[in-house]
Amino acid sequence: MTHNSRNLGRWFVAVSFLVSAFLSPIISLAQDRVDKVSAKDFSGTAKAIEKTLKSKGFMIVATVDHQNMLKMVGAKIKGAKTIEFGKPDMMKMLMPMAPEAGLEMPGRFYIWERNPPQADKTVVSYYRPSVGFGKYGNEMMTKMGKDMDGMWEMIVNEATK
Amino acid sequence: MLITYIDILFVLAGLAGIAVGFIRRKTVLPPVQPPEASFQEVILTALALIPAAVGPNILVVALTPGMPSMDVLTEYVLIPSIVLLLIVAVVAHRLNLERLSNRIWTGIWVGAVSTAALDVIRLTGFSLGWMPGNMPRMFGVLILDQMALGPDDLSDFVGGLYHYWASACFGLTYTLLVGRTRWWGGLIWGIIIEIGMMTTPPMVIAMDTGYFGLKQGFGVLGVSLTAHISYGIVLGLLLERYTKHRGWILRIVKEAFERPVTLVQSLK
Repeated sequence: MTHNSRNLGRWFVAVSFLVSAFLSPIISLAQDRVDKVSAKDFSGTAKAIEKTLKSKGFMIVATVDHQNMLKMVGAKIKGAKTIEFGKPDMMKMLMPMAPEAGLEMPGRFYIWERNPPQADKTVVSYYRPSVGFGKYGNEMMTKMGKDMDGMWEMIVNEATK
Repeated sequence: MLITYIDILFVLAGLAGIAVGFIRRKTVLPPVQPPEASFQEVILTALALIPAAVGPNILVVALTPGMPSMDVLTEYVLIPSIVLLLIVAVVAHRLNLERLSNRIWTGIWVGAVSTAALDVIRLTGFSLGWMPGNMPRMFGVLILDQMALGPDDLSDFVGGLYHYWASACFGLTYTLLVGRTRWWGGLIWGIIIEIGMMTTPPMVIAMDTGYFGLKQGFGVLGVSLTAHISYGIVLGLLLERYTKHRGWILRIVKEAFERPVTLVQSLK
């Protein structure tokens, strides 16, 4: 009986280890990623994101229109757009101090339309900046990342309501 | 819509040009006696061959890894090459170089309008999913450097212009090098262009179709080959009607070199 319980215990530990190893990327992805459903349609959401970003002093660095690009190669997809944005002041402060953090910039929102059965829903997705900036072990950058989390959330909430 | 109204407008304009070409000259007239060759003609022909080569090849260069991009090449190479061609055409006209003038204008307009014969097949193949992309739309976003935004009306128009200009350059190259031939000369030229297209970076690397498009089955090759055969036949039939003089470039060069000797001999 004792032998059996010990075996069961070992099995439990092994299975838990395997399950956690399998799930950890998914769990961390879920924690890093924010998906906010918009009350507006796709183009309304994209415009609102741009407008809100500009009103908060951000510059649109680039817009990638996946839907339009794919038309050239004969693919029809639902609305999908990436908006890259940044604040010159923020970058001016961060880049000389930690050039390696350039990988985390500019910020990025992905606006997309869901496929059926969840059609007619536009979603704004992004990764929380604190996760990226927190990887550098720099206190100031970690704090900046956390501040950005709040700012990103506020912009997306405002644009999607 | 995968095929745009701009695609259709370009095709309609090209088909109208083809129709006018055949209506104006229903039969093939006998060739005109060629004028005497001169160094001026040889030099201007060589200069006209530069823009003829630049037109289609900037795309090949732009899509070759490590080379300047299409927007840069358009600004610094393509547009100056078009200006050079215009200067050559004006000078040839002023110097009464009838053969060269005829070859420049005929090559350009016949090459351009014949593109419609290619496009009818290309666009049909694309809408059936047999082609990897609507290439003129890509040319437009490459020229205007707006790949991330994708195509819009302006880029589609610019891409269409470039597509027709590249074909015009193929027509020009043919008339400058070969002169007047039978219609099947155009067909051979169309097949040579097809081989060039299917073995160079725009298709092989940028569209990742592999050599002769075989990475994606036989659809790409089938559509592309048929389209270029169609282009070549129309090109050949129209060039046969409108190119006035026989004689390929080496014969003209040879005559130009022989001419001073004949002049000296005639003075004696």
